[in-house]
Amino acid sequence: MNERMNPRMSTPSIADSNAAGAPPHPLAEFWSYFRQNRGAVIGFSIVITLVVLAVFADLIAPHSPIEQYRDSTLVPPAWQQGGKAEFLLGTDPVGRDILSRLIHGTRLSLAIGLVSVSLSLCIGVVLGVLAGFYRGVVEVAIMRLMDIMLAVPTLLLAIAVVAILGPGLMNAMYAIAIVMLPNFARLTRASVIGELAKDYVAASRIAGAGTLRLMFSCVLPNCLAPLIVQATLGFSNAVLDAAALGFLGLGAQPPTPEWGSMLASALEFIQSAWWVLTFPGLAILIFVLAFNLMGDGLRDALDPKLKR
Amino acid sequence: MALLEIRNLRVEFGSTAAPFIAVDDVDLAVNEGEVIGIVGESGSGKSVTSLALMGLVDYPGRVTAGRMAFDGRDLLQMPDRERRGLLGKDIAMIFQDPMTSLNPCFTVASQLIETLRVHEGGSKRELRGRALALLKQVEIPDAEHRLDAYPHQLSGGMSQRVMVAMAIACNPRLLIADEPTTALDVTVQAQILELLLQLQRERGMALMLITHDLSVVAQTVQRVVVMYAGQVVETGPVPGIFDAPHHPYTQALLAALPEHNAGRARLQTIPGVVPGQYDRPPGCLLNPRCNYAVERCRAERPALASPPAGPAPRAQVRCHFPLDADGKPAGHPGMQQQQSERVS
Amino acid sequence: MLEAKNLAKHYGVSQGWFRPKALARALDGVSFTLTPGRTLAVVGESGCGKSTLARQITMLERPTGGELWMDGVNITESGKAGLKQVRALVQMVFQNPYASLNPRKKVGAILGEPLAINTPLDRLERAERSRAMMARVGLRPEFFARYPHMFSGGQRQRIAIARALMLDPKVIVADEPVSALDVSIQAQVLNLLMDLQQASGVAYLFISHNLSVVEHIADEVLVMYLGKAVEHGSKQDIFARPRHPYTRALFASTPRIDPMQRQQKIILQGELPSPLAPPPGCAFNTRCPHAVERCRQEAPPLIEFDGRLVACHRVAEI
Repeated sequence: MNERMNPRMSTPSIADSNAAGAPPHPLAEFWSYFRQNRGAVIGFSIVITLVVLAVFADLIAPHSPIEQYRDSTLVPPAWQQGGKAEFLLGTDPVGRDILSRLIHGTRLSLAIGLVSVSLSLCIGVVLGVLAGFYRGVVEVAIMRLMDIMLAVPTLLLAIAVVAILGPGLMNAMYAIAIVMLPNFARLTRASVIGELAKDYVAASRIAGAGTLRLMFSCVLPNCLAPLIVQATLGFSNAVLDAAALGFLGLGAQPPTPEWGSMLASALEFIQSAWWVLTFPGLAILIFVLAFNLMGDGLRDALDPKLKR
Repeated sequence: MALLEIRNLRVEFGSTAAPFIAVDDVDLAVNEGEVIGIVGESGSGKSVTSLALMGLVDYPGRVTAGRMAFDGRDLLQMPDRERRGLLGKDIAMIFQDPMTSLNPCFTVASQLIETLRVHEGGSKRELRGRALALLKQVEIPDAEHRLDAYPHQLSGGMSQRVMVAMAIACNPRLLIADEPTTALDVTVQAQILELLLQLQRERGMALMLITHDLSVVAQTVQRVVVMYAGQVVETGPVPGIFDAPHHPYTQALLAALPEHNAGRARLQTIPGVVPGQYDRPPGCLLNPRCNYAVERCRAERPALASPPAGPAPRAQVRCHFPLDADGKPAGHPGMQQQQSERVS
Repeated sequence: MLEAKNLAKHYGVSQGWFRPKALARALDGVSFTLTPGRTLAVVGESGCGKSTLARQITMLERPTGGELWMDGVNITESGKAGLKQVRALVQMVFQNPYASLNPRKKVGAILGEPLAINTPLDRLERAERSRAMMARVGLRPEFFARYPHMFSGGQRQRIAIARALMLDPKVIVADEPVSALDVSIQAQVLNLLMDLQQASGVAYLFISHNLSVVEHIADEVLVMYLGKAVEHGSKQDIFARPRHPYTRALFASTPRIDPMQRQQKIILQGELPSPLAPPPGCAFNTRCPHAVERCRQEAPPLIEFDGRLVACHRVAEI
């Protein structure tokens, strides 16, 4: 409703009526907003598909991702001349089925996204909450540290971390988590400062709530919306960063079917065997696009100012 | 001919199948130089009415009207360009929250000058001089310095004065004030209302004051329009409408004021709440809350008509049994029965 | 029961790196006593210090000066543990019903939170008490599992009042509880507040700038201007004959429907001075129609006159 928002403009709500039933559950309300954004729904369906692929990779993939078919190296995709039906998207230089590697790689990409984002979220949120609550020296220390981290180009930072910890997928995930940390910390701090000024926090304080309860039970749930959106977008960033690290040989090590490292080992074949390069690249593209679309949709659906 | 003429205004939101009717069949007429007040609570549709006439109701709102004319010019069919020439010049509006009505990025001078430049033009120096004169007219102290101030440096009362200055800059013939003093302290409210009335007298402009505050309206306007749940339920002159309201809602609103409950331990209240989107009753919209509701009220929606005690100057009421001068519903079956019992 | 003696709260406002901090005297020496079952109304406009006063009384902040006594205990000197014990006795209802309830919690959780913090009751017992309180303030039982955004302003205020009562406080600070509500809802909520006071004997510190509401609900009135009390007395005395020029201006500015009740318009000139730079002498002298030289030099003390306390040099003459 386009009524001017002011305290007096209380929309006579459904809750007042005897005739109507209970008002819609917040999840149902959220879904109806989300649904209106076509791109978001497409993104969401792709994400679901990816999750299904990842979970049932062993069942869906026609071959093992690491099995090398020595007699079928660099086979073009099935619809091209010279392609074989059993290798739908062709094979890579050592004879591994690209389709199966891609499907198993979905698992890895999702895992990378999940682990990095979760780690980053947890630590970033705690730092942000501390900075927002305590202000003063604590805030300055935390935020300046975040500023320093932000000042360094993300890839450089990731490389530095991996250089210290050593190459490998797990370490790449830690590096990516550290790189994403400042975003979550700043977002959380900004939200926390905004929410702390509100009356309901004062009401909880007057009821005797201690700092811990105020932080995590009272304030944090109200700061979640921008964090959820950032986390979704962080998924796609994580995969891109992992791909870059893999490209540089610092992430997943062979024979792990991680999309980025697949790209790295295929550069030389850009002219002769385009499929070895293109399909992993497409996979990354689709993954990132899907999460970004979904993230945009989430932001619109969760934005209280757009609430009708 | 009335300066502003609105007939059968209807504003809907939401799906066409089950729309939310924010404004339902509203008639409004404002004469040149008249001071009129539109009174109602939340959900009465008073603000949406003014936005509709300004053309500020965006999609997904739908505005339809039988007639909407300003100074004889049809507002409904008017092309956007022509309408923009009208807004800010002949029709001006000030809003409730002065802190958010001014653009925080620009100084007072640039916002005032913008209005002047769009409608009237002139050299930079001329415009600044006029802006200064306007600020002095709205009695802003130290106007020279305030011209270059940013909105956040002004208090609520000051900001509202700047808004008034912007509104009167091009000598409008109609000034719509949507809850101009609700967000202000009571002494500042008195100052702003005094200012508005003074400007109205000096410039002969019509003033439409939209508010929920009955006492403000009682002290300021000549004629009152009472709205409830999107409909006009009563119109009448001040003070007549407050001495002897014709509609049960007006009567109940007045009775709920602390001012009229002196000596009583508890305030009289109107039970229930304003109907929302999903529970608009079929008959009269007030019937679930009205003390006098009978079967006819529940079945049939009343139309706007003259009150029983003879046509008072431009007084109308939407009720099957409008109240007479004693506050009793005329022609009400229950009352009549009581009366006949008393007689026999 | 609750006694405030010369409460003062000064905030340091930074003026930049090289200048000393300016002192904003938000509250500058206010005293009063609250008795059970009675309402003290604090009247004033923005900047008068009433919100600051609310924060001191509810122990959200510690006063920089003065004392606050509750049932014989000096709260201002108490440590954290002492405060915790007294907190439950003073609760608050806020002005904006749209911001005073946690949007992410259901009504049941909002009402149960004070109990969860302060009592050893388990979940079922808390739910039971919450439902009982909901019935007391006139909320339907099915509202227990709903979120605040599903309610209107009046219903949210009822939830806020219910929350304030959960710990059975002795004092409730009501900061403009009905200002954001429609007239008809305002009447309902005021009736509720008065009924609850009669039933439980709770004392109200009722902050408002709406004199007609104050006239109805208050027993005692304290008028504040720029952090100080300018007039303090019983409602009857002050409403019958306001003595301080500011109080008179407030009364005159209050719009009334009945033309008989309207008073001679006193339009105050100027604006509220900044609390960082209060005028010398009487804080009201810049806007007072009766100000003389003495008012600009000497701050008037709060003295007794005509059955109440007034801070004005010329109170006997005007």
